[in-house]
Parts: sequence; C-alpha cells; structure tokens
Amino acid sequence: MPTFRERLRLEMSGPAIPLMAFGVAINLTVGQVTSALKIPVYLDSIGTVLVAVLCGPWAAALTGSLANILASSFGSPAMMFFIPVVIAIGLWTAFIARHGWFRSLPLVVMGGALQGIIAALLSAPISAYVFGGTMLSGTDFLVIFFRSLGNDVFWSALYQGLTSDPIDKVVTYIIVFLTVRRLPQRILTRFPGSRSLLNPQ
Amino acid sequence: MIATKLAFVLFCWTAAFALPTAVQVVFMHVAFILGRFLPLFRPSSAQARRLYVRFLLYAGLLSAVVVILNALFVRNGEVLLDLSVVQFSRNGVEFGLRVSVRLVLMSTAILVFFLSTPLRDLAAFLDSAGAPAVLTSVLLLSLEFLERLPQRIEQIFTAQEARGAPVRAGFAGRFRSLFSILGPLILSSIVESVERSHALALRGFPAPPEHRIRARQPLTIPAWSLIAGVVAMIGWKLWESFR
Repeated sequence: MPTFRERLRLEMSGPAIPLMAFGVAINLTVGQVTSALKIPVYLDSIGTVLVAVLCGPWAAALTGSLANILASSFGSPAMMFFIPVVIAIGLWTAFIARHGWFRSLPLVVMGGALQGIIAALLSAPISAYVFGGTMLSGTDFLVIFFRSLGNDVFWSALYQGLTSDPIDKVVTYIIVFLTVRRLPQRILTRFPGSRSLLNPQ
Repeated sequence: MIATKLAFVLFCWTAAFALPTAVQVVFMHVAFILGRFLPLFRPSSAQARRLYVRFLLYAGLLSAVVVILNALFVRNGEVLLDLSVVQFSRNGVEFGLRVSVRLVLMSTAILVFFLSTPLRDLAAFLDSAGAPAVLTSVLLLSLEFLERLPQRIEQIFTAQEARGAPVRAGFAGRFRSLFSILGPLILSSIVESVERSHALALRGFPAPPEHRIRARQPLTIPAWSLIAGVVAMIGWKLWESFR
C-alpha cells in the first residue's frame, strides 16, 4: 500500500505535469468554443475532470485551483472565491473514476448529475453570502426568478445551481468520457488513472 | 516585495469579514489608490492597466446591481421608496451595500496583486519560497499553453467547419459540433502531454531538492505590520464574539 506522499508523487509526475497545465489552459479557453457555437453551458471544469480521470484527485484539485487563480489574474477576481468548489469537483471525479464509473456511459451521466448537485451545494453559500446571489452572468436571471417566488438569497442561489450545474457537468463528463475512450491504449497506460479506465480482463 | 503584496491581500480579505462596512469602504478606497498611484501596486503592463480600468467600471456596475436587486427583492423592514409597482426596502439596501463593499474590497485586493505582479515573477517567488517544483512548472507551462490554445481552437473550428460540421445550424447541430471540436482539442493535448513529459525527463526534470538554488527573501516591515494587523483583527473578532 503506497503512502500518501508516494501516491502524490505518482499522480504528479511524468505526463501528468504537462497535462495539468493543459487542463488549466482548457478550463480557461473552452468558453471560446461554447460562445462561438452559442451553446449555453460553461464547461469551465473540463480540464479538471480530464486530469481527475487520468491522473488523480490531488492533481485535479491543483489544476482547478490554478485555473481559478489565473482567471482572477486575468480580470475575474470572483473566481478566486470558488476554489473550494473546483477542489470538490476534482476530488469527486477522481473518486468515481477510481471506482470504475468512467467505463460506462450511464454511470458517467449519473456521476455528472451528482457532481452538479455537489457543485451547486458548495457554490450556493459562496454565491449567496459573498456575492448576494449576483454574479453578473446569465444565471442571475434564474436567481432573480427564484427570489421573486419568495425564496431568500441562499435558497435562490441553490435552486439556480441545481437547475444549471447538473446539465453543465453531465455534458462535461460525457465529453471527457468519449475522448478518453478514443485514446490509444499505449498512451492511456502512461497515466496513473488508466487502471480504472481499462476494462478488467 | 511580492510577500508584502500578499500580506496586503490577506489583510484586505480579513478586513472584509472582520471589520464594519464603513471601515471596509475606507480600505476599499485605499486599495483603489494603491493600485492607481503606488509603483509597487500599479498594473505592470498596458493590458493590465486596461483590465484595471475595466474592473473599476465592472465593480461600480456590480455594486449598483447588487444594491438594486436586494432592495427590490428583500421585502422585510422599512420601505424607503414606494413606486406602486416596486418597493425599495431599507434592509435590502443595507444588505446589498454590505455584500457589494465586501466583494469589491476582496476583488480589488486580489486584482491589484495579480495585475502588478507578472506571473513569471510570481512563479520565481513561489520557487524561492520553497513551493514544490510541480506547482511552479504547471503555472509556467499553463501560461505557455494559454498563449497557444486559442489559436489551436480556431484551427480545429475552421477545419471542422470545412469538413461540414454544422457549426451554424440549429441547437442540436451546434451541440454535436461541440463534441467534434473539443474531442480533437483534448486528444491533441493528451498526446502532446506525453511528448512533453519525455522532453522534461530527458532534461532531468524534476531536479532533486538539494540541487535547487533558493534565495529566500526576508519579510519587510510593511509585510510584518500587515500580518500583525490580520492577527489583531482576528483577535478582536474572537474577543467580540466571546464577550
């Protein structure tokens, strides 16, 4: 049984380092694709999910955190406050990937939906208590809608998260699942997470 | 100097939760002034200056929206303004002001830090402060990939459009195109990661810790003063809650 330090070293060595950097860059630039295609999803955790599946939980947590820190430095300081959410995304995704959920599409969809619920539960208090439920994004209209129904700011932010996050995360998970399935085995086996992705013989 | 700026961020973030809103407003203005006039905190490039100005406008707009939305939707308490269709409540205005001042103070502090600190300098500082080589390497590689990835996305987008991908069709067609664009993007990133890791391994990365040269810089007096301020604020908050 490897120690925590050994597991960490295994997770963050070899191709994991450039992949984590790519994960950060993908998180930050994928919005370019969704806005060009005019599709109303963020997919801003796609790099984190990819690293979680191929490398492991701590590499994914670092990828998500660095992406949010860099987003702050590029003029979106609010992203800094959501670092706990991206860490949770990385940990949860790696957890279910280790348990073989990324071998079948129905489990991937279920995992994505659960991830969306977790993300909503974690981001609602931040959104409500730090930002008063307003992020100056399209989802603000959902918050306003739920507040106009008589809910307070926390519940409105939570309902907004529960409405939009599961869809976003399911799409993210499906994209990563389909991409990883297309990887040649000789490349896949270079990553520490490959054992959970290959079907047991 | 980066340590002093980090201490300033920590100070502002603590103040955002520990001090009354009126004091936070003062610190918010201090952060604005530092970002505008003090060389240490001034944006490091023309692009950073533009971002800072854009942020100031954004912060003003955000504060106004937060205050108005809360004034409209928080119904309990005294009514400040009654326009028959809509009512502005005192509790809503106060909550909106509290939230927006806290948000703007924290955001200004972190943005002033990042805009005045080139990320390569930050990586060098982290390295000298003893941060793991993985962290600084990923940070620096991310900066390189961030410059290249938009161009790659554009190439894949154009290529898929030329192959007949329905990038301008209805919603379902555009949704299918999303997979045909992101798939090659992610696959090429994974393959390049493997190639890069070979290149890094051939160059002896990561070097053993004893082979790394670190020039630790001592904390300055302003940095120590800010840290003392953070400790004092936390102490005061704790004393107030147990009183």
